[in-house]
Amino acid sequence: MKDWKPIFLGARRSLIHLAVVAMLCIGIVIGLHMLARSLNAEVLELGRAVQAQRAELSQRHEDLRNMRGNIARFEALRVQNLMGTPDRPMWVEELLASHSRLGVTTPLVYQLQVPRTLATADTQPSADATPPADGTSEEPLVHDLQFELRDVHEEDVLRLIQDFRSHVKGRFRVNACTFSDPRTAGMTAKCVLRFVTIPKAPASQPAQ
Amino acid sequence: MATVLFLNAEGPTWWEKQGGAWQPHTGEPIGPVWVVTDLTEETLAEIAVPRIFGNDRKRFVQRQLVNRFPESLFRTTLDGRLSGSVMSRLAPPKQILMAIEPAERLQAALALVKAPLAGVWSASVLLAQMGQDKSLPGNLLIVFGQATSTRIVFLKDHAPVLTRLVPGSSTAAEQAIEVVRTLRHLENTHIVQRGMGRLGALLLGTQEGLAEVLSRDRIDAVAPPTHYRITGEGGWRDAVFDQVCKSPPGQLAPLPTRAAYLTQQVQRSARYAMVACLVAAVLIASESVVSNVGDRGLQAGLRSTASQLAAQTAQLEASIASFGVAPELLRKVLTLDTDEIATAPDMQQHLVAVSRAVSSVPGARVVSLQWQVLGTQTPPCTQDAGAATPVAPASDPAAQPARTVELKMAFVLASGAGPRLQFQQVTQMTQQLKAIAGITLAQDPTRALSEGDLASTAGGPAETQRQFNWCLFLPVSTASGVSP
Repeated sequence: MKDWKPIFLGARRSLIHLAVVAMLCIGIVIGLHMLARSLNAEVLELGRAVQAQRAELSQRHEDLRNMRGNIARFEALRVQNLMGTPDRPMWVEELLASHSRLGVTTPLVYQLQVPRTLATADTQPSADATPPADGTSEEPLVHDLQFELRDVHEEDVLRLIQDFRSHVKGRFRVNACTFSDPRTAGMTAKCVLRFVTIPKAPASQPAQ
Repeated sequence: MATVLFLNAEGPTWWEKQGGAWQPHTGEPIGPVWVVTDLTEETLAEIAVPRIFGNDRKRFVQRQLVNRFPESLFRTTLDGRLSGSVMSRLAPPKQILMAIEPAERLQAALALVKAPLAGVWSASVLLAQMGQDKSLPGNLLIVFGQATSTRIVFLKDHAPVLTRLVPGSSTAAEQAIEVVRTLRHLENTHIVQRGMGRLGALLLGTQEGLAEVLSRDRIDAVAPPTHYRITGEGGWRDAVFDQVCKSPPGQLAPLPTRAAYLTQQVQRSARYAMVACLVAAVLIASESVVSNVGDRGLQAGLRSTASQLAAQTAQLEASIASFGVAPELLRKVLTLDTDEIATAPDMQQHLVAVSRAVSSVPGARVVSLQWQVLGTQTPPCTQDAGAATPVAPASDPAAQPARTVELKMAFVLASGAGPRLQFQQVTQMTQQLKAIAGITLAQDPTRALSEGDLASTAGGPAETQRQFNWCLFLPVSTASGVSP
């Protein structure tokens, strides 16, 4: 090997060039490969982002369509105090007012129960219910307004409910009615009107 | 262009290959020079080598080479054809040594060469390599005739063991005498057994009629190997020159003498390697480049799409924001109102239907009537409404059971009606109730009247009036109609 040393020394420039070219080639190949991988990952990520944007755009289209189709109804519900803090005493006063307007002579006995969440309204007895903490949840609440009338006919009850519905600021449905104890003057009616509210009012401006 | 320096007894002559033929050349050669010697100083020696392997064997043979030819640097070992057992192939017991000794004539001729020296080969080695062809016999005489001399090489078992340069030999008879003399020498030195049979001879460039003369001495001419072709006027000399330009094994010159040529070779190999590196890099990197270019285009397209989508989304969000309410809240409010209020069943409609049923039976009166919207987990028409069996909540909201309206009623019929009339009136009332759309009758007194006990009490008229109970329920539609 010692004899070959002057030969390699004589050709050292070519050998150095070869080494440099080989290193450059390896560097270029590795660099381009890494660049391609990184770019490919970026493109995949970008593709996923575009897909998500398309889904979001589709959702926005749907939202806008909903908004245009239902904003009037939403505003009507807002006026009827479906959202926000309900005026529970006013409900009772309106019920009493309807009772007096219809000229029913027998007294009206009422009970506005503690509000319960919608999910537990049908399973939790009203006696066990506790008022939900203020502002802790946006879950819809139900308020059962129970009243009792003696010596009335079914028509009287229906007219009372109809009058109450037309005057009260709130959204309710008749959840139950029981007619019993028939007598000459009428029957004893016990009804439950169920109000529904969403506790937290939206932090937004009224519609134009 | 290949250049050969041919060195024989007449002195050095330059040859150059032009147009496929070797021509005498004057002046300094341009490229590397291959040297072919045909001198009397060419010597072959056979040595016995013990069973040693690898570097030990190499060092042993090199020591033997130096000992055998101590005065010449132009020496080498020749590799014969491997045969015999595996051990004999791994460590052949015999080794042929070759040298030009003394080498003053050769060194004097090489001193005049300015061009890089590719190497020095002896005619004996080149002829022996021709004679080692598989088509030729193992024991072979090679006779190489030239204008002023004849080279005779003998191969025993494909290994060169003797070489002679005979001057003159201008006729077939003279050449035959030298060949026979060589054979006698081989017999006398017991290299060839006397009377062993006919011997083969490869005659290259010899005089006409030599083959016939030799056949009388039990020497038969053999045909040369087919891949050696003689095209020019130089005959077998040109074939030898062509062979030496391929730099075959058996080179004699020491490494320092060939340094310039080997440096050129290393430089040329480095250039080829550089080109190979570049080509390989281009080929390997092209895939990445194509991928990069494609991905760049794709990336630009996706970015453009993303910006367009973002602009459209922003535009839609602005339109939505102009309504002053969040879409989620709107959806929630509308769904709640629809499910809980707007689609709530109409009690009045059911009361009218019940009233119609009662009025269809003369004298019938309502004792009690209970209308109730039940929760989804409360089964209708149970004996004790307060002890309703809760239903396990479904994991899928869409699979939850529908809300139902339960209607429980108790009636009394006109007093004095017999069992048969009661049965008819109850049946009629049941038929009226069944007219309510979607209704399911869970409790029907008709069956009790037809199949159950029929009895009366001994009390007054009020007590004799039997009370008939119905319980029915119907599902409540809760389709909200609001997009989720």
